Amino acid sequence: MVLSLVKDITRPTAKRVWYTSTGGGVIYRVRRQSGRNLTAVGGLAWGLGMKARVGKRWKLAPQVRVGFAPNIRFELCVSWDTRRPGP
Amino acid sequence: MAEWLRAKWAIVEAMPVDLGIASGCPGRILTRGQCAASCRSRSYEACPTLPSLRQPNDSPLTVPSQTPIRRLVRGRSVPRTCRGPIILVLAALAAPAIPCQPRPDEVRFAVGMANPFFEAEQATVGGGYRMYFGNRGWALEPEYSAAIVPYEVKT
Repeated sequence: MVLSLVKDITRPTAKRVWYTSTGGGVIYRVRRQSGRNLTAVGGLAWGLGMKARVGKRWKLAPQVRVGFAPNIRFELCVSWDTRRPGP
Repeated sequence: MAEWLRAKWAIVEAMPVDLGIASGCPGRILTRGQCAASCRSRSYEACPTLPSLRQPNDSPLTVPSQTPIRRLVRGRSVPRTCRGPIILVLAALAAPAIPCQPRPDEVRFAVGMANPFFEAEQATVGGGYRMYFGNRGWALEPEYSAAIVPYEVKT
């Protein structure tokens, strides 16, 4: 479980919004070692991403996170807006 | 000449090779000798292959024939290793339905890759939601995340 504080850098209502995230927590690591092996790894991470609106309620957001224990993560997020879109 | 070479190699052996990422021991600064002696993970093959660094009772290396991510994409190791992360993601997606929680503004699902430039590459999968507060673009994002090491790690 990771808890991040996110800040939209550009205007939140724009079609493409850049954002940063800072957070920390526990990431689960699944390994194939003598069967399945699940461990929890703690860490802190800082990220930068850009979410682009796709349709009325869907967004696509590529993001990169750099963290400690030293790692770098590239992710593609799909998000669904639970708020009803404005008129 | 041999003596000179041995002395030079001793210097090389004492040099840190990485921060532990490539050799499967994150957070540790390893010398080449330590890398071979204490870190016989999948990344062991990244260590120098000089006979002197191999222990007599070392198990044979298991080098995947394809890169892990390629294997993952082809779906060979997904079913068993992904069971845990899938449960986590489903839990994240179901969390907004729990009535006592504040309503999220966005439900998110993420896939990606960690450490693609190092030997310890992993696939990542996660899910969570984002709750905005105020009107200046600040939000809290609880997320369940898992990193999958899709190759056999032999010790």
